[in-house]
Amino acid sequence: MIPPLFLTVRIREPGRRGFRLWLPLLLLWPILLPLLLLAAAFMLLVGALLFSPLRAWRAVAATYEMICAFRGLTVDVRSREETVLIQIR
Amino acid sequence: MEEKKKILEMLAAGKISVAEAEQLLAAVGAEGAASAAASPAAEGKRKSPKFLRVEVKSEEENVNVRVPFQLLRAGVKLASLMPAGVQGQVQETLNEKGISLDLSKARPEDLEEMLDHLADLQIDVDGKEQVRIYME
Repeated sequence: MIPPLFLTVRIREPGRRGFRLWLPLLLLWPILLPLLLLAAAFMLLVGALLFSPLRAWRAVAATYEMICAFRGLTVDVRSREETVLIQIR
Repeated sequence: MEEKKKILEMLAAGKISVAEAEQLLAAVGAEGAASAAASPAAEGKRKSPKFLRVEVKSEEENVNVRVPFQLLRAGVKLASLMPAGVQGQVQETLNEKGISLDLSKARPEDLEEMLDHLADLQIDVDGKEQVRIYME
């Protein structure tokens, strides 16, 4: 399972120069990795104390799966005022 | 194959006309194609859908959302791991909104089964807004 690699956000208003953000998440993950590992360790610890270690582990795995599952999500809203496109790849 | 042979024999014997034979052969061909499509092997070959598509078209705006099925699966998995207290609160809110979905009984295996059935689903609602929900 691979986490999302690219995020594209495009906002365009008629008659105006649009805003386009192309975020290479693949470069962001190594930076965020220490924080994510800390968060996972915290989740595991709290989960193990409150419930059970197995359940805590499952929750961490499910959270990671959920993050990975965002790949392919597309939201495209077009109105008269503006066009918004969010793509996660 | 045997049915086609019989039709040709009947034609040769003069029991049916050429036009009738043509009609019968066409009917046998269509039947064969339909049964081949409905066979379990063909069903197995059919691709399972990967995305849930929601399209809303109105005069003012168009919304087009593509949600990966994997996200739904992961969501159900995560929801099933929620502590009982939190699940109760979510359940209450869902009930308030008129959604009768029991999260405590939601399991990823059930979702898989549901997704299999949803593969052929297509909902079209025409009114002030045109709503289309389908799988791809």
